[in-house]
Amino acid sequence: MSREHSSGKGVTRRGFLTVAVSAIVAGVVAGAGSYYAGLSAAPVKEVTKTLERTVRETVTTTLAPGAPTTVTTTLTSPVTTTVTQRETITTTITKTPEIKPAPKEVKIGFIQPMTGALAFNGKMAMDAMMIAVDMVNREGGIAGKVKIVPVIADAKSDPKVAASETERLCTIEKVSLVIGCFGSAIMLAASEVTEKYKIPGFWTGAITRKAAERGYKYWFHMETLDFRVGESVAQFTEEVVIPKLGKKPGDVNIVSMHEDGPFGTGTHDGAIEYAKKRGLNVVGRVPYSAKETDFSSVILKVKAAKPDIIWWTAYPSDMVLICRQAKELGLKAKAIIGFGGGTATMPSIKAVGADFNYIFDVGEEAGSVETNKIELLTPKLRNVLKEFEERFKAEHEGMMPMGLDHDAFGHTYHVLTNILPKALQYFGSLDPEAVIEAAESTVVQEGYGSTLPSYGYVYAPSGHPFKGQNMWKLWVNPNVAMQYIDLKPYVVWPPKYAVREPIVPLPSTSPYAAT
Amino acid sequence: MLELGVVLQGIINGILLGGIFVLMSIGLNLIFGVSRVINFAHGDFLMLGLYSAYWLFTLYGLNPYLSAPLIIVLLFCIGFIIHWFLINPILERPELAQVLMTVGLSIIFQNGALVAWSADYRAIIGGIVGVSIPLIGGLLLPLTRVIAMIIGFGSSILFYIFLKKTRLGMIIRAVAQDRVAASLMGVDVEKIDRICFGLGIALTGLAATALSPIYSVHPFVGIPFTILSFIVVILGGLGNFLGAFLGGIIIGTLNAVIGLMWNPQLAMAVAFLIFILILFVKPRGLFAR
Repeated sequence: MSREHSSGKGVTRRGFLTVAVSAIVAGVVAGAGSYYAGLSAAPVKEVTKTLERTVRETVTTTLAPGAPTTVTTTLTSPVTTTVTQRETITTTITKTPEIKPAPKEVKIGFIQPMTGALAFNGKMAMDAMMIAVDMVNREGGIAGKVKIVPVIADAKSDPKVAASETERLCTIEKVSLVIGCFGSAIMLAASEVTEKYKIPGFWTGAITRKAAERGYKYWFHMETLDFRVGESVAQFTEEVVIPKLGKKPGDVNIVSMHEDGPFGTGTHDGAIEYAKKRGLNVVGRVPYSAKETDFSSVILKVKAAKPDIIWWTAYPSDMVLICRQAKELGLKAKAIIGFGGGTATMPSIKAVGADFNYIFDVGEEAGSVETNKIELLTPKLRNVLKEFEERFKAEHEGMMPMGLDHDAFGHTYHVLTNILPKALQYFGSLDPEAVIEAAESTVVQEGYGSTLPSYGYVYAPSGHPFKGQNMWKLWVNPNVAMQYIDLKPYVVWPPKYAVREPIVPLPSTSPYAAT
Repeated sequence: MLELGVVLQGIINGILLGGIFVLMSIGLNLIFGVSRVINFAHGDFLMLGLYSAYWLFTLYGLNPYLSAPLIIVLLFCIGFIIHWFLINPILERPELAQVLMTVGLSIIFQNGALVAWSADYRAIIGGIVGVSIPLIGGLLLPLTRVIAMIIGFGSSILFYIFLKKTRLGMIIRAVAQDRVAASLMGVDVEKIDRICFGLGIALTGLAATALSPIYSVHPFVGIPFTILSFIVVILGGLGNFLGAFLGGIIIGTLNAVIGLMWNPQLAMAVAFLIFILILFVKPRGLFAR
């Protein structure tokens, strides 16, 4: 039967049009819906920032295998905020756990967006996590006796896939806990599923405040939150950039430009709220979808607002094109400040090339800070970090791990070496409830030497506005500002970490320099 | 209220963006409009072309525009072979089989690229990248986009002439109109299908060389372009190259102007909404006869 006689050859116009129109209608509805959902996001609460580094802390711990376990943690924050009002966190857990025989192995789910728009960061972070797993397994596993069996899931940069993959981890793979993940929308979706199945989830990378405000019982977040990064950007602008321009805060036009997901929105909410209180002049806010194929209208909008300073949150996916189009369309400013994400991702910066010089990035992504302070770590952790960096470089054509990779490794290492051994030893097993109790009673004290990524760990207890959040990270907010010179990041703020003087305004060699 | 200069710049940007859409869709117009294969891997062929241009530039210093002949030949061969071994055997099956086959190809290409070249964003730097021609009133013409538009326009016209004036073009049109009749006239329809598919992919390679100084390349760069290309082709009328040219310009301009005057987040959604409204009035595309 020759194909020429078939009427089924190819596609009919009507058939395809029906499919295409349905898909597009769905896209339009989804796009419009997400836009209005974004509009109705809760406003940022007032935050007063007074950095003090004194901490009042008492930890009473009675921990003995088989004996009643009592953990009382009282911790007073070093930072006063109206959200966390010089707060005291008290966690008391008392129980006599049933100590079960330790299992031979434990399945742990690891999720990252390893393909799609966020693939670059997601894949690197997964590689970093797997190095942590391998290093702990080499020592015999959790507490030296329980082998870790990692189950890897790819969220494909899509919240829907993140949800279905997490569902697979929880139901088919039956993991004891899940560790993830870069991308705020991905983390929001994945952690809804872990909560539904009562599986503890430990999260690094994504920093959306929305996740912290849900009060989830099974959610533990080791990173800072978006609004604190925003505050750091605004503070850096106020303390360094505006004085260098020789102007008063009210006379400098700031325009906020950001990807419109939870990451961009949350960071800029924090910055704008700070700006309002301190009299900084934010004259425009231009959110955009990082998935677009053209940003000319975004750039013209920013240009029309006549910015002196541009605040910018990008993902790696949109950054290169925005830089190019900004150059083509003559967008000029005296300073451009990024909020992490794309502006901290080295391969994307290299893809932009020399045009990226003199742009700032504020965040914790200072790989250089982490490595500079290696001498402060305990000898064991120093070796762990060194090995991690060497292995990571060997796996990635000599590239040093970035801040996100350091975090992914360090936080995973914390879960595997601080929380899980404690669950096993004092709460009887690696069951979800035991893991939660171990996490809630974990206080790793402040001090660079005691943990890998930075500072310490204490998770906010039930009833706290940010239940499950690592409050150390939020209080201390260890962000730095870096400036790219010869495409290398140099820490320029705060002064105690600064290795160079910041260059403001943008020098004439930058294509974005306002004359 | 935006200044007139900004609005005019927005319109220029929109027209040039339309040029990019046109360039992207020419190959698909041939594949979908003439040989009626639903190619959901279209954007991924573009990705392969972009990587080819990037590597030829990075490893051998070859100007991306000059690498066009090499890439066109390479992608023609890839398209020809893929059609022969993968598309042709399932043409008899329901449309869904084609969709699944090309979606499968898309996944293989993306993940293959991920393994081969990692998820890094790579870009051609230097030369005319980021350079604009200043016009009166402070307006700017981004050079790489102007070149992309000229290539898009030029190849649309050349292809139109090819279809209308050459023997092979006539055979292709005959197959598009009536496969059975063409077959009875002694046309090897399967061969024409293979050539069409190869030519369509080759044109996508041409598009890739023109777009390589504009976009960075990564394994997933093609995804948004696939659906955009379908829309441009349908708006213009299947197989109508000049219609697709105008269709591309319309979508590009709508996107840029709505983004500027109203909201960049909703720009593409509104442009698509207008596309749907046009289809209600002209279901066979704006310029279908």
